[in-house]
Amino acid sequence: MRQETIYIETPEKIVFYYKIAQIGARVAAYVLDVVIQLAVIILVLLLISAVSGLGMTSLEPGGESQAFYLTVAFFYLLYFFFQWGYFALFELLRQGQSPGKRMLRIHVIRSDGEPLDAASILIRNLLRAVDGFPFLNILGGLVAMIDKKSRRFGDMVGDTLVVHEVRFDLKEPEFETRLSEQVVKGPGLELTRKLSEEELFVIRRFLQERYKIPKDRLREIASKLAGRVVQRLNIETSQVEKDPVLFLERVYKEHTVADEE
Amino acid sequence: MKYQLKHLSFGELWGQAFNLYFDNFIPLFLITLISNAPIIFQQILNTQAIEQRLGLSETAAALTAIVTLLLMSAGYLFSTALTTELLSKKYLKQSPGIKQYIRNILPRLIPLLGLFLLLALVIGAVIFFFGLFFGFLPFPFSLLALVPGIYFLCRLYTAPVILIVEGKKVFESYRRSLRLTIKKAFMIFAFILILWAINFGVDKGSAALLPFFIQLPLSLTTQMVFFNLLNSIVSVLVMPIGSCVAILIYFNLRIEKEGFDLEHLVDQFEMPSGMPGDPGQGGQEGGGAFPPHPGDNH
Repeated sequence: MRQETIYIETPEKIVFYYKIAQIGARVAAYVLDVVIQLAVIILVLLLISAVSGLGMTSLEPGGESQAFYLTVAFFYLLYFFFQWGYFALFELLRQGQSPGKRMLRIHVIRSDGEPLDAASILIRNLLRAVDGFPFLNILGGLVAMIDKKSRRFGDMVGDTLVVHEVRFDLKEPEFETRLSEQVVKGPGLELTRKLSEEELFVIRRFLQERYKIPKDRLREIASKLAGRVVQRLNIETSQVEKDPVLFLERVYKEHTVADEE
Repeated sequence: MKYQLKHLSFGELWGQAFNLYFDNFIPLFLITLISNAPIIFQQILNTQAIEQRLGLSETAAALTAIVTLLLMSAGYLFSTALTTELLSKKYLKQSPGIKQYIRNILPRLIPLLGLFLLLALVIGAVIFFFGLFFGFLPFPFSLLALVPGIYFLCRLYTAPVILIVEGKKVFESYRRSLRLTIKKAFMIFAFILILWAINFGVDKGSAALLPFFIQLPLSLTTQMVFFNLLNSIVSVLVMPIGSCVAILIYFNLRIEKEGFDLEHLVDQFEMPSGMPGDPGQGGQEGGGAFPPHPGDNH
């Protein structure tokens, strides 16, 4: 069973959670990193060949020059750096984020919640030699698919995880002014107590996020929801027809008051 | 726990796309494999040794190619429609059954064909038009001719999904796609680029297995047939990921721009028994108003 969230308890007994980055996000981040690496290699080689006066035609056998060997040497240096240093360097300097991971808003952490250290980074990146077998990180991908925390070998040995950046969701719903409370009447405290937590959740969610809905759709969705509340509580529909959004606000507020009592 | 859709970030969308793919791997693989059977067959026929052995005349070879092309097109249409319908229902935690899926998509196949043909014409015309202005420039500046075409492709990316999921007509699907993808072309382009890179990497990766096949103690013909078969199956494995991404992009845009998550939640608001829309009267499978969120593991 795939694990989506990990809870970490600090020594101070504070529990916080991270959302584990699944295989798809990791694949996409890896692809972006490879594209960046290829782009840099191509740019650098073009620059070197332009500076050293080497044209593409001198890559024919027998036509090699010192400039050609210089270009090849740079290519191998860059390849070595990208193979062994790119990920380790960025994870060390950028809080566990390579450029590809940064674009996907995921980063590497230690599985116990401690700050990422050089040893963990080194181990997880050295094991790319194993995860990369036979090519394009296929073995690492297969292992991450099977592991419930989507870890490759390097993560298991280095005791690290790749998680999504923490996003904070929104707040309590905002309400209209007191004037509106006289325009629309709610069903009353006794009736609103009948609403279950799930039903109240739906109403609260609607009120929290109604401002993102286009105006032409807002009344339609509000009427639908208000209509179901009316049928659920078995009350008359006249208040809903006046303004379904304000009716839902009244229902929510009355239920909140009923709860507090 | 409540069942709710939510707006996904770029990384979360990729994670959910692969999750959707793995969770529905068998039906997706079978649909894509069966629909691509003509392509696989054609690739095997194209193996040089097979061609020589069959000794087809030019006319027969041309006819075979035309029939295969027609079957390929039909297969592609059918697999696109069926995977889109299946994935959209699965993402919304609905399971109407295979007969219902096919009943839903059959009337939409011809409009889908029209949509794809028109899309190809429009994109081709745009590229041709801008090619007249940028084509004379040296490489890589001449590639600028492709930019407007790619922009339109990104803006119309969700049109096939809209046609299948919402049952809209061709031009309505285009209009709706253009409305949904306002200020989102670059993001969609990033998705297309990564999908292309994955396909490219997998293709090249499977081509790298050729030296392995050459060493097998089999005749050259058999080696090449197995190699082509492997290549085709690997492509078939990767194809449905694109459909998963397209579906999630579509729903993500609807959630962001139309509050679709709220509408979906409202649709699940529990009804008293006997009322229209009561889940007990043939609503969602699994019962209850609130099946778990795809991202929850409670």
